[in-house]
Amino acid sequence: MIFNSFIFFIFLGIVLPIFYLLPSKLSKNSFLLVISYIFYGYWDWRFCLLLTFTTVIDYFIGKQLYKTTDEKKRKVFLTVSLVINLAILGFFKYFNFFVESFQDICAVFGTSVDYLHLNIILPVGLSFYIFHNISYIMDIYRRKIEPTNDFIDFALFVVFFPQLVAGPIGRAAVLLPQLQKKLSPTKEQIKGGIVLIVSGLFRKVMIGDTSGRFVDHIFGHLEAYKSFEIICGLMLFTVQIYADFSGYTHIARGTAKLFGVELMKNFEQPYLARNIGEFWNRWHISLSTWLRDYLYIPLGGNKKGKGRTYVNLMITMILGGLWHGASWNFVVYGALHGVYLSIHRMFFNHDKVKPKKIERVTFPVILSIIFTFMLVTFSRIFFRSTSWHTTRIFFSKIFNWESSEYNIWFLTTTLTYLIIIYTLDILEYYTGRHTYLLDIKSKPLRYGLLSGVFLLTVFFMFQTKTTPFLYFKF
Amino acid sequence: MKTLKSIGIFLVAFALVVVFFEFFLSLCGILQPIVRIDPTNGERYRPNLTCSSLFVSEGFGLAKTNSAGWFGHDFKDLGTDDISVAVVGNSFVASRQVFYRNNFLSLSEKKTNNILAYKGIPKTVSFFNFGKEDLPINELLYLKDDLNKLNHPDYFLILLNEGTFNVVTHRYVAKYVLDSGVIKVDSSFKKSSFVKNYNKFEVFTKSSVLFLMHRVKSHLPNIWEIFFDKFYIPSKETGEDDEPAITTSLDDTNKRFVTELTKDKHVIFLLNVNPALNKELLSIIGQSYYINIQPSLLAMKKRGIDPNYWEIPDKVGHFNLIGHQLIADEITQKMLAIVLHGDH
Repeated sequence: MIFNSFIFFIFLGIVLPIFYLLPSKLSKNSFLLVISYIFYGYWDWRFCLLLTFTTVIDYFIGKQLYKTTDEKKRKVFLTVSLVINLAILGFFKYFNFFVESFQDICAVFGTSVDYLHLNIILPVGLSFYIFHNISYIMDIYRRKIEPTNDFIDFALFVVFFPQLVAGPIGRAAVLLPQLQKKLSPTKEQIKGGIVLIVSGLFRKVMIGDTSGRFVDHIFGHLEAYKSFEIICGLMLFTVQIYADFSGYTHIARGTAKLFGVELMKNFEQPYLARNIGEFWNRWHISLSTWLRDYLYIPLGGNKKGKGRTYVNLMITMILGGLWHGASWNFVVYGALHGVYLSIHRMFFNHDKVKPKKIERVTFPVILSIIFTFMLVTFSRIFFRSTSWHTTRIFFSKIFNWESSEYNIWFLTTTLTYLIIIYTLDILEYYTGRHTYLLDIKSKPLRYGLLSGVFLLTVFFMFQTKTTPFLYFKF
Repeated sequence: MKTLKSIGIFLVAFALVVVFFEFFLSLCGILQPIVRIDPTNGERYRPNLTCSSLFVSEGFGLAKTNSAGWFGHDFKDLGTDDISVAVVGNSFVASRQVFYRNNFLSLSEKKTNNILAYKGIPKTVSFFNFGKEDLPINELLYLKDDLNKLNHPDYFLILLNEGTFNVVTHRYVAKYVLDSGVIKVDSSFKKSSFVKNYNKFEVFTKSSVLFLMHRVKSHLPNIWEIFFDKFYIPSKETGEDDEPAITTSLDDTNKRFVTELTKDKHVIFLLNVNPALNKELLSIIGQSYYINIQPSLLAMKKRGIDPNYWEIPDKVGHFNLIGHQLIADEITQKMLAIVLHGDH
């Protein structure tokens, strides 16, 4: 079930009143657990089996890990959990990739290996809930949290439907304590939830999906387009991926609020970042902090000298790139960001990485925002290209410049999208919250704007095909 | 009073959102009403407009309409050294699924003229696109006669496919009808109250938001399918899963209109129909000139390349880029034969 479908809103319309009427914590959590499985099983009921398997395994390992004081045994439990989780992820997501890469390497040396390709279906949201579970086990191992003894609470922590398929990758320390109390949303949460759902839907349907349709056709037939058209296609993809994913997160957070649950923010106006370090503090925050806490820091972080810091950055970013998908393009995407971050760390004061509010909008600030945006946009070539062949065509089209008769049209369209996405971000940036519409004091004005955006977005949804979120395939 | 003020503010806020959507949808070419109702001829594309077409089940097209409301350049008679070809047909000629430069007309024009220049022959061939969505044979014949009066092209290249023989109703357009065996002009659309009101409020007909509403209205029959997704069970009576019937033979009316077309010796038929219909059409066309593109398209399909397949949405529809190239090659050969050997 996807958020930008009518069936989701029908589902929400049925489950919310029932949830509000349920009297106890146990009944509310049990009900949420069941509907989360229904939500997930709507894609394919078989996906639920894998989800249940990892939930059961990690629940019991988590408990044993906490009970045991013997360090050797603790390491064994941790290793078992990591191996199981990563093996599942590796098999479903990377098996064919590694086999094909191995065959390609053999072919370079003139050896032919029998072709082995399994038709594996990647369960929706696998990378998200596996990372979710790993963080739980790692936090218990580090004695940062205590495991829960209530299986329903734990299972709900894993499958809570708003965040199940594309995050934010929640932390047990934040989410579990909320689920261990009786969930009852406040009036403010309900208002905030509605605003987030409407704004998320607008971002996804009106900005993400519409720009995505241009992008899909351009990247699907690069050979048919002229240089400037392709560059605009890339810029539109930069808009699409942000609108799509931030739209999803808004709806996820908004839906969770309606159930009285607060999920972490995943985006904080990333395209207003003034340098690449700041960008990663604002983009897909739940993944970047996960990679920092469970990969970069265990590798030694920046505590083992400059050279090692760069190596750690590269490893973290390459694996972060590979997390997005089983393709060498994602490896290059991650490596490129590793290089960006290393260069930034090499030449600039590390303190600048930390987000600070822009006090005054000066020319150098605007320039640094544009430069960071360009760096990110360039890296998106590798993110969007489905193969090396596509990447090669992209670059050859840029280097063999051809002018287009539709330059003005492409420029107008791209600028319009950029202006809209930047306006939304600037509003969030200066109000300091994603629910800035609640800051409008006049109720009729607020409701007029909200209902206008909601109705027209729904009308648009009605007359077009539902497009899944980009991050579902990761 | 307070309630009225609140309602007023609510409506103003709502209107602001509508204005924003209006600019957004039209500036980004997401939804544009590209057809208008011309008081004389009926439904035509809006003149001098860059039309973007984003198809959910096909491609992404961009094309500019000329001052007469047709895609491509304005009709111009360049004298005796230039051969003008008016191409008439339905959406397969309009080719909104690809950029104008990639459609078969642009490609044929470029290829033919390049070869002529290479051979040192001081002639050029110009194709003019008179393609229009859902153009049934009676409307097609009317359009061809109308164009003949206005522009006098050297040739008409007329695309006939199965869609040409479908019955299209509820169109506000001038057309021919067969009345007791006599072909007559039917301009009754001009009397329709909708058309009269349409032209009074033409400014609103350009609105993207109203166009969105119009599209919503046209999707209303599928409301339960859209709402209930996997839970939707189509009723058997409606036969929603039935494939539309393919035209394999012509009725007398259609035969008569095709016969009428064959009377003009400047007409070259571009045939893309199934073998049964092809046989019947050829028996009517007789000694007229034609290009049969169906065998090449089928041969391509047999080689595993579907000229109607769109990879991105994974759907079959109008000609894709490869399809356009193939048809352009066929037309180029024919045009060269005409120019070089006077052979049709």
